[in-house]
Amino acid sequence: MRFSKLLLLSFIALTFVLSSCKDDEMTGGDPCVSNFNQKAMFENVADNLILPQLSDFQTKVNSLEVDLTEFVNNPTEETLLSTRVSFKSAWLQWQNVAQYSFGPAEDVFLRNSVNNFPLDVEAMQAKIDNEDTDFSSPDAYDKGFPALDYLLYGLEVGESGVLTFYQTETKYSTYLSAIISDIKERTDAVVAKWEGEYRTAFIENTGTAAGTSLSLIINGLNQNYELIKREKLGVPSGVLTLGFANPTKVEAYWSGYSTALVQEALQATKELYLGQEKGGLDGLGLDDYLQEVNALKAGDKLDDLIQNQFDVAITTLAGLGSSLSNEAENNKASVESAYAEVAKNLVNLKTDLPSVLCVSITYIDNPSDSD
Amino acid sequence: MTLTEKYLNQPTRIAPLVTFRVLFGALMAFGAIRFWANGWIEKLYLEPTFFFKFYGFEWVQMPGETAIYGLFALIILSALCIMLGLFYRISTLLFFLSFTWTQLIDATNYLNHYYLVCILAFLMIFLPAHRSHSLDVLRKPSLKRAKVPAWCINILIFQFCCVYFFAGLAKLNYEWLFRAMPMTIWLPERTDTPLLGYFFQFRWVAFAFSWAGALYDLTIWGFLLNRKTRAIAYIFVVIFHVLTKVLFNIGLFPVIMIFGTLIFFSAEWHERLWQYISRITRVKKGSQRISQNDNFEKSPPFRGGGGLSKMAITLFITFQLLFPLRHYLYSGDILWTEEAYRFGWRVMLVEKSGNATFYIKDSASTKKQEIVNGSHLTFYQEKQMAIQPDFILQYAHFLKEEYETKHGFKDATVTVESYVAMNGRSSRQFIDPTINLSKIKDTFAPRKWVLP
Repeated sequence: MRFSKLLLLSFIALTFVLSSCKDDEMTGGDPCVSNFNQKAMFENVADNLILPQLSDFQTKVNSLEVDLTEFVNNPTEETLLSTRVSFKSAWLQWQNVAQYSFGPAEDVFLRNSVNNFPLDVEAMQAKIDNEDTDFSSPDAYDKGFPALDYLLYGLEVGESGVLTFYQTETKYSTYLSAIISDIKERTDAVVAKWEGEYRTAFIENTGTAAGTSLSLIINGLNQNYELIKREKLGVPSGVLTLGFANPTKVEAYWSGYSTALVQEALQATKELYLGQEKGGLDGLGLDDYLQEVNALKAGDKLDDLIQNQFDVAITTLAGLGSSLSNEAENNKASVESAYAEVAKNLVNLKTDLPSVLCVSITYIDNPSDSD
Repeated sequence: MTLTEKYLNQPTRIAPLVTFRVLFGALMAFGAIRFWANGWIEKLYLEPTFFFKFYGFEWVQMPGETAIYGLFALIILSALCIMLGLFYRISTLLFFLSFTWTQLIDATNYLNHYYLVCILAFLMIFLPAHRSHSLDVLRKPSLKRAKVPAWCINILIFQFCCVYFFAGLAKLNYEWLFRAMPMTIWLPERTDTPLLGYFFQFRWVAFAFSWAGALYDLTIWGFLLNRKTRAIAYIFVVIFHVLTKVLFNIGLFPVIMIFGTLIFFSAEWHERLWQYISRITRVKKGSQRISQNDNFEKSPPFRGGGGLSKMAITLFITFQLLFPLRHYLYSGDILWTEEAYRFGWRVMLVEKSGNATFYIKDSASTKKQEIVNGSHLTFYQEKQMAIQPDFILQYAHFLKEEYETKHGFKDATVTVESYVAMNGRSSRQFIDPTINLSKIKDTFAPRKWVLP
């Protein structure tokens, strides 16, 4: 009979396969199957990280708006300085929020609207001159915190120089107000959704498929991590541009506290990875998930590798001077080494972490069919 | 009757070929329209500035923005003509050329079922599938034939058998059978599937799917060949491919196979199908019915017995039997090295992701740079490049060229730090990071620069 022959053939082929068997380097039982409590982790991330961070950001945006309004109505050195203080604290807090770029934040292009940098000064100047305050394009680099950075610090050297722009012309004030209301509007929308139905949906959305909360967290973390690596450190250091440093392309060029921003961002990434509340409890996070599936990389625990590298990178960043722009110009090697230490964790976070948790990186999706 | 007589020359009724022609043309037209409507022309042809090539087809160029739309229009038009049997010879030739052209532009988009379409289209150029139930016959009744030589149908049957068998053979590996990979990763992602979804969370289901899939591919063609089991086998074909369509993003492949395997059915079955279609569409009886006057003998050009065509058929069959097996010439795990991976019916076989960071250095100065892949490649190209050695090499050569012409590098050195994670494992280094890729030529020789 033809079919018994076929079956026989298959089994002969099978024995060939068996003979070429190799040992499985995964030891922790079945791959992709674990008893890890995803819901508990999502609950921790939502209630102890995302919601408090977002709400803190909202508060800081609100006080920035109050100060800015005060400044616009009454541009004095005093109001300028108090605006700058609330501006810095809002921008620092943004670093804790940036990685939650999915769901409600994605709906309103929060990240692109709030922190596209480096600023395109010419494009912005043209908009100011035309009194154009349309910030709907996520691809524009003429708005958000980088624009405020320029408008509060960069128009002229020294406070009095900056003040003249607001004392003599209304178009700068108009633009300033428009920027902060745009940031506020989007932030409010995101907070409202998280405080509304999205929190529950997020916690309930278990599994490993694209669009599940696990995939959203890992994608958000990685997208942001790549931004830290490339935009915040790589571009200024010059490793991506033939070794020529780009001191003007740092995040906070005019105010000069870019280093603090990148430090905050990296710390926030580590906290999300650990599931750790700011200054508080270390709850369920990706580290616990990796431990649960007993993920190994070349014999070492993947979680250990990731945590150690976070710490090395954070220590290296701590050694940078406060102005990344200065460092890039005068002490390029220090920025290069900070970049290198941040880069070292990328493969762990972007390739290993999703692979051992059996999640696909969805922000690089197949545009067409696969087979 | 000799074997040649039986399988090549014996006059066989044309009906299966007609069904195949109509379905193939309709499906191809639909496929191209779908591709266009989904915006994939823009995404896959207009967005990239750099294209990966197939070995030996580096000369195939992207034809330009207007021309690429023209090319797709030509695919749609010629596919419709194939369906209707209008200007069939020229339509099949044009379809084959235009479709294959679009496939050769960027190897990133390689799919096994597109390769299958290229082969089927190539065969159709030589198959007299327009000689009944076609506008050509209406236009020129003398073209009409009731019978064709058996090879015209058997060659298609052979091709579908190949696809199944080699797809099954490829599944006989440790990962697929004993780790149930990549099903273990993919099935739990589909737990929202109606009815079946609940079961996908269990590991044993992944094993069941893997083994059933392998067994299906290895044997289904045999059951389709056998007259007694054919009907049941076809029900399995439909169930299997509908299931893959529901579970995975595999586009037209399931439909191609569900339509294509109808070729296994007897001429009587196809004739009944056409009579049924004529009845319900109220086409006047007789006008489309296959003539009983067998004027087969008047069509010697299609006879397989002639020396040249017999040789061509033998050559084709030999190629199809041997080419998918060429990976046995290489040592190393084909799932990892991807050496000789393509054109072998390796379908949905592995889950991989990678990360490749390139460094370029000038030999004449201290100039060096880390490459931002996104400046040259689309996300999808980057994703594919990171796991395929020949793409990594092509890209390295492109970088050398780019930096030598645009940035004045002399004799640039290109190295890569690349890591690939496969089937739920952590990553390993993929390419020897010390190798200057700009000095490596891609050949059929084993790639020593790919780490085991």
